[in-house]
Amino acid sequence: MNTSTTTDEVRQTYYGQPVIKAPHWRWLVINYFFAASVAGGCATIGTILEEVSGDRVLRRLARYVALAAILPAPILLALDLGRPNRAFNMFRIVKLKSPMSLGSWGLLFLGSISGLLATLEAVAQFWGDDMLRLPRRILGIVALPFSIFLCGYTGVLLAATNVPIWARNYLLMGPTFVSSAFSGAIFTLSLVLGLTKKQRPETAQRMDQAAAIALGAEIGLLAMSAMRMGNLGRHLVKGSIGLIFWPVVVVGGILAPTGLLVIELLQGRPASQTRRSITAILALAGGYAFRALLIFAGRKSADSPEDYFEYTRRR
Amino acid sequence: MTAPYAPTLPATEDGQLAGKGFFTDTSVCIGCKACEVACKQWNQLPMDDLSWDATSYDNTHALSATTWRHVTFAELPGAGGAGGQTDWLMMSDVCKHCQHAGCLEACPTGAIVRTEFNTVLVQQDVCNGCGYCVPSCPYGVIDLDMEHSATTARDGKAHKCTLCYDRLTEGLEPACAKACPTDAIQFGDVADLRRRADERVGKLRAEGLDAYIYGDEQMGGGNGIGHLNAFFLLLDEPSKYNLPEAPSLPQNHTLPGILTMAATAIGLGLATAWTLGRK
Repeated sequence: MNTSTTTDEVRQTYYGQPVIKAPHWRWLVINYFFAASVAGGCATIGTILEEVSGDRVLRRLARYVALAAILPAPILLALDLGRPNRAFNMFRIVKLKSPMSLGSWGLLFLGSISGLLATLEAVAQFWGDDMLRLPRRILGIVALPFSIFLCGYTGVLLAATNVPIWARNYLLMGPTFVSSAFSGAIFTLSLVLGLTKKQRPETAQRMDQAAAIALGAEIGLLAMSAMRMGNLGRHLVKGSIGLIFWPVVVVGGILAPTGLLVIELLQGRPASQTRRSITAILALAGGYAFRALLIFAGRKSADSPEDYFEYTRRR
Repeated sequence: MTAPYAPTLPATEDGQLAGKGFFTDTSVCIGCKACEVACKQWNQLPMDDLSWDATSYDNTHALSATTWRHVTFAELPGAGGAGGQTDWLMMSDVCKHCQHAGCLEACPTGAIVRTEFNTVLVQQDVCNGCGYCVPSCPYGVIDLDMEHSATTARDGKAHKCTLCYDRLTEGLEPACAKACPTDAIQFGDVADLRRRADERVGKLRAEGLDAYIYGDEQMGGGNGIGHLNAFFLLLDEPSKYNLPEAPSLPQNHTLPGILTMAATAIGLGLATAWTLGRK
């Protein structure tokens, strides 16, 4: 036993023992975070398209994808509980200060409304777009606060814990998740449209512009987050997680798609479908990896007593 | 001579310190672990996977779903310096039963409640094992029972000290306080305990020791947590006992986080609408 090392450790921490406990969340929750972001983003874009655009195909697709993405969400969460029937206990009460409670209710409401909207879209697809348009519009507006919430509440859920890397950055976690959800939803729709070959050139270019704006916001928010987290952010940007974070999230998931979109926009004509698909896949992989790495970095951050003492130091 | 001690009795909403709690006086703790054993025995908790990690006499390491009292053994070089006499800091750690508890605020099922004794209790029949309470506790107390499958049928639910709720309802004091041979763990009304603690701190300071209370608004509590119903008399920095200096209630972040999230979503939504809706 190295006595001097032990003495040094005990001076700073209690033998390096974690002060707080890390959350148990792993792949089920990571997949849920991603599915919820795509569902929330597509539902939001569906409502936006209903109100401002005449592109019925894209609007319909947004609502179908929103439903398809939200359907596995409660299953993933129930499986994470170990015993799925326990999931019903989430609906005993509403707690305004608990993002998990709000998220459970938001998921229930948006899931239900997305089911109704997808049904109305199917009606419109077969019997004409004006069929039941008013209830479709009303439901879209009603769904909007829930879809926006689902885009980013998972970031707030992480921030409302004691995990230093998340908690220190509490003001920017939700915005970063929201911008990632917007870009993720647009790229998902772009990818599906490409596969079904129903992409309209003028819509394609507008979607790319919207995606570029969301990616630009994401870049800015990530840069601000890095400054805000300071040394506490090292678990995300350094070590084994950093080895994946920089190439997959920053370069592959944000900078490369942004570069491809900017080049396309400067050229003034839509890119080829292959290039569009590659851009979308890169961005989606980056968005997924961002959520996964942030959770794993959070587990490391929680296990570090030095980080927690720094976060809770009297100022 | 250390600075005179100025008691800072915390005030609840009604200005009174209500309910029951623990005063753990580390200056008289001898590290016998009778509290750990009594807790395990009364609450029928399974044994831990005891391990020797070559640091100190601590073989349970932390509070967990099946260890609700944990005695820390911090060895510090004493007056003699390295190679000289060792100073021991021993403390029986436990759930703090916070005035505003992060675990209780986070729990989405309402399983974690405040009892008539002003303590914080997990209702096992309601807990669904979501685990959100675990990173929400500023002191690393509550945990999911996920790791003791060798000794018990794990239930995946959250567990922590109940402050012996079952004993309290029968007029008995908690098992750990009952078993403590030096009265390092004292149980009673929080207001009485605080008066006793303040007297004890004053006495130790008069003797030249740097004693203070951990668990009031000034140290260990505050920042939305308020005071701790289970508080401690400490003789060194909180970090030496693996306690945070100024933790905060994590739910302080919920509303600001939602507002910034909503503002960003509105901005991006308008930009998306402008982009997709242009003629």
